[in-house]
Amino acid sequence: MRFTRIATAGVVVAAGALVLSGCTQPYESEVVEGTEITIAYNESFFHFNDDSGAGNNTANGNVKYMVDTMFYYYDDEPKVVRNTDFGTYEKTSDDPLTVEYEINEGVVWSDGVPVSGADLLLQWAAMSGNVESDVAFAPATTSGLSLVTEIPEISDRGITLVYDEPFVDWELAFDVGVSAHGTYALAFPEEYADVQSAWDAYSASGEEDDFKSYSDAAKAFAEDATDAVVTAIQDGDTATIGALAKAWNEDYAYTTMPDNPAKFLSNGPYVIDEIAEDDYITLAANPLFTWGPSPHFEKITIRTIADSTAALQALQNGELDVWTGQPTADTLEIAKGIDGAQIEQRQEASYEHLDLTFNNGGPFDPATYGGDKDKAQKVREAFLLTVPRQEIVDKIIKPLDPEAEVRNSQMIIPGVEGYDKMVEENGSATYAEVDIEKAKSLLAEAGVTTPIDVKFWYPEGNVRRGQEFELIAASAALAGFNVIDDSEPNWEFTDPSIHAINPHDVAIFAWQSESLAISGSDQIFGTYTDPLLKGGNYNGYSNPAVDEGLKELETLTEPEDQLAAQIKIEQALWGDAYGLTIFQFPGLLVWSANVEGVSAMPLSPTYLWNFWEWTPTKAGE
Amino acid sequence: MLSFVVRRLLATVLVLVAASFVVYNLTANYGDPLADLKGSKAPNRQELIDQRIEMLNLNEPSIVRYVYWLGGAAKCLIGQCDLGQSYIRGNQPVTEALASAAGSTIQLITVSTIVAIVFGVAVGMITALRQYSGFDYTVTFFTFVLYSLPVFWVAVLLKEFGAIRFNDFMANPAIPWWGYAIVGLIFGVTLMSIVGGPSRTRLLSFGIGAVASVGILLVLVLTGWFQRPTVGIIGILITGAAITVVVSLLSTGLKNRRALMAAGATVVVWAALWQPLQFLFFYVPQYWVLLVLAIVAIGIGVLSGMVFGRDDKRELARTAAIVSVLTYLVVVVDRVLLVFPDYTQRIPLKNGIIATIGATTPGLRGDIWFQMLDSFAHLLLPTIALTLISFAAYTRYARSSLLEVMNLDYVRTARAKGLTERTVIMRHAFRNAMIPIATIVALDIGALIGGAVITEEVFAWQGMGQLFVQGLDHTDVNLVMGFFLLTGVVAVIFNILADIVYAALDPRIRVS
Repeated sequence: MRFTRIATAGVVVAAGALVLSGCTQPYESEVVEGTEITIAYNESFFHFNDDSGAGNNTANGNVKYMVDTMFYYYDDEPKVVRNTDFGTYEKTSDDPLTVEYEINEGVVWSDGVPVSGADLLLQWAAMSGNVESDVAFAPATTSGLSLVTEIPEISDRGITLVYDEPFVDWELAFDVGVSAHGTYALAFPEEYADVQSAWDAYSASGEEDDFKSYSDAAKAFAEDATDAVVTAIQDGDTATIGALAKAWNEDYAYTTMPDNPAKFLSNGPYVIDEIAEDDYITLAANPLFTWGPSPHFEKITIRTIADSTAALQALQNGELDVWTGQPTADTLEIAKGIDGAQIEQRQEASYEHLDLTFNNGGPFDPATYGGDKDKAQKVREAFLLTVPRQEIVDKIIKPLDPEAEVRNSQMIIPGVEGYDKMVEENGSATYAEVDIEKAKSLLAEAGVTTPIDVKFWYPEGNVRRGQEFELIAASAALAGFNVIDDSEPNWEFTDPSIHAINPHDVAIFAWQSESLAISGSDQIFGTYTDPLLKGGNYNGYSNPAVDEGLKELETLTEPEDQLAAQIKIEQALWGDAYGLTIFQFPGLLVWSANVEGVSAMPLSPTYLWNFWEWTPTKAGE
Repeated sequence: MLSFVVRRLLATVLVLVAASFVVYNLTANYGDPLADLKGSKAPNRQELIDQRIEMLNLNEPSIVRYVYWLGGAAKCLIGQCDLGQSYIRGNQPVTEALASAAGSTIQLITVSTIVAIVFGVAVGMITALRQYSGFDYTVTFFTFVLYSLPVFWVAVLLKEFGAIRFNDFMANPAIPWWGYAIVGLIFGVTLMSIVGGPSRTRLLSFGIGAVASVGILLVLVLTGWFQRPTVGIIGILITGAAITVVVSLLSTGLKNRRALMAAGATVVVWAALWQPLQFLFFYVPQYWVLLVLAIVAIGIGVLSGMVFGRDDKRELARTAAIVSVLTYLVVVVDRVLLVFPDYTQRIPLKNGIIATIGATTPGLRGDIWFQMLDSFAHLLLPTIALTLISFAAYTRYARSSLLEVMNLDYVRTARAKGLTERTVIMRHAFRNAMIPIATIVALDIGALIGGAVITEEVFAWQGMGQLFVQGLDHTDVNLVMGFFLLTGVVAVIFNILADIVYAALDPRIRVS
């Protein structure tokens, strides 16, 4: 769409936007009529309830991020930003940990029904796993909310969560999900018949009056429906909850535009407008939206494009406005050649790291030296000292991202608050430079005979990691290590049913951080007893001090305490010569001359984070 | 016949069961459906892993899971297919995913298959008739080049030159003098080599080809046709005349004046209908109207043939009907191009209309004329890409098949009877040369349904190939098996069809 009408139409004040109530700020829509933007993701939308196990996918999360409002979001630092236009939350007590959530007045679902305590209660019921019912809710995660075992108190627009134990990520544990009355409508469709027919009339005519009668019907329905939901949960009516759970799990799955409006009720700046199965999904500005910064584009289309070259050529041809992905030499070149397009090269949330195996009878296992921990420690330190991290970054990553740097923390993403302090104190400085001489003397001190065979795993066929292997092997050989290519394509060492103990001495792969959550490190660094439940601890690491630190960390609710505990854990990790973090994956964000205000962010939902700030430009005319 | 089909079907079922067993176990053991979760650092990692293990029965060996799957698939025989659910698509039933993807793929391959067959056979025949000429060698060279090119690379080039640069060209169609020279040279040489004959004829045909192509291009550029393409009533008459000449040349020969008149009359009829049709197109923009008119077009042709024909009514009716239908298509194209300026305003492209991804412009508002232009703009490049691949094979088959037939005794007999070369080729040799081609076409369609994987990927076309790639990427065995089952069944059915068609075309063969 050429934005021919932008100049003349100017800023259109949406009719529904001037509904003012006593305590909300006057709101002016800044949606520019007739403007559209097309973005891309490599998979298609298929599930509206991305909190459910089945719908837990970034393709759905992207859509939900734009059609819903949340209590907080990540900005591009990234740090947590509270969304006070939508609602507030506050920790009112540390013992027991109590958090009060309150939604602002005037926040409504896309059918005009106010967002209420019932919606919050249903979300707790679904995500906590603490509600008995005939059919169980199948959420993607219960972490955090599972600690809220008592049925929370609700008010008209609020909920109070009382945790049985302190929980470190309480701030990220809860948000509004799908609507209570919509889920009730899906569970008991016969009660929704009036609203459905009013909706059918509206979608046929598109008249404002018909929308009003649809909205009125929905409000009348919602009054009883939200009561029914609340009563069922509070009274433990397992049959009704079971029906709700079934609807919550299954009925929000669709790949074409549903006829039933209950399936896409949302409370954000956009609403779902059109879905072409597997091809694209179009969102349109929500005329009722007043609780937050107004978006500027009237429509946002997310197209499914898996191939990065195809996406960039589409951008060059004008069919696409924003694309992000991991750069290769080719895609970077195409992106730089696109007329008028802007690019931002920023690191993604995945990071490359190398772990030494502690329990496989290899060179880094004390058992090899008859349980001599000190000897194994020296061999590990010697090996890590030979790993040319800076050279890897310079030779492999810098061509794709000139500002790339070595990552020096196991737990904190570079750029996030606390990273600098962490790097200063965690002991990573020992491995800042390759030191072959020191490595040699450590090996001599340990009294091991060189060359030492080191079985090195990387995913076979992964060119980049193959190059890393070559660089490391060459450097380690100088100190007396014989690094053996132990690559294999299927990551079999991660499957405890195949290898209870990792057969490789070194493994190089990436972890992906999806949020700023602090909990979760225990499954990587924590001691395990049953190999089948070892989580991500593939290298058999075990240190009681780390276990204790991790346990303590889970219960800290203040940021300063959390950082101090994290530093303590990392000091132990680096001190034990656990392994090395190497680099953050380079990312590439490209956008066309039609839009400005796009900026990269490493965590999910990546560059979508500030979609309301995207503005159409004159160049688009 | 019946027993043949039944026997073939039974064998088919056995083949499918055996093949599905192999494919199922290979797929299930090839990758790890938990791979994405194992690399995750999310706090709920273990929960997610447990959920998926339970959902996909991953604790059972793949052979047991295959039996479950086969049980569901067997219900297809009683019309209640249960191919399981696709975990990467939010537990969508595989049958639903397949229905949508298959529709999309069929849309993609239909035109390219037709174009590849028509042009492949035509070019193949011409090379056979001009065996060992410069034209033959040139075509042979280029078909093999095309045949060996990887499609993803062709696609990237097509997008660069066929879309991005061509769109820029459409906005500002300036052609340097050497551009005209090259176009003239190419068309001149091509026409010269096709026509052949003594050097005088060659020179003449080169001249005609070069002058005509450069002239047309010049007129198009000077009239701003690329910025605002139209056909118009004059365009309809000119193209109609060209169609008449070409079709008559192949069908009845240009010496048959009455055939020319019958065919030409249909062109005149369409030109006369052009004005009233504009009203019909405006007030009833529906696909069924186009379909009805297509039938009317055949009617006009047949009628014209009846009027002009004497004892050759049938032949004339056929010729005129073909010309009539083709001219009608030009009339439709003319109507579609009417929305061209509006269409360019409604799509996001900076210049031009050729798209590089997907099947439609998202959220395009407009009637069927807009939709048709939109489909054209989106189908053009993938169709060219697919055509280029299968084109090569068809030219080779058509060439060798026709060469073989041309050397048979009955062709010599036909020549000895004093029949014209056209009659010998078109009526006697061509038909028999087509028999092996029919088999190849049937097999090819079966293969294409599942074989456009890469083309779909690079053109972001959400069809069967995408489904397969997605399934394989995430080891979603149900999805892969759904793909396998559908493409397998289609391939086998077309195999049977090929056998039956073969028997129908060639009286020497009997199926039993």
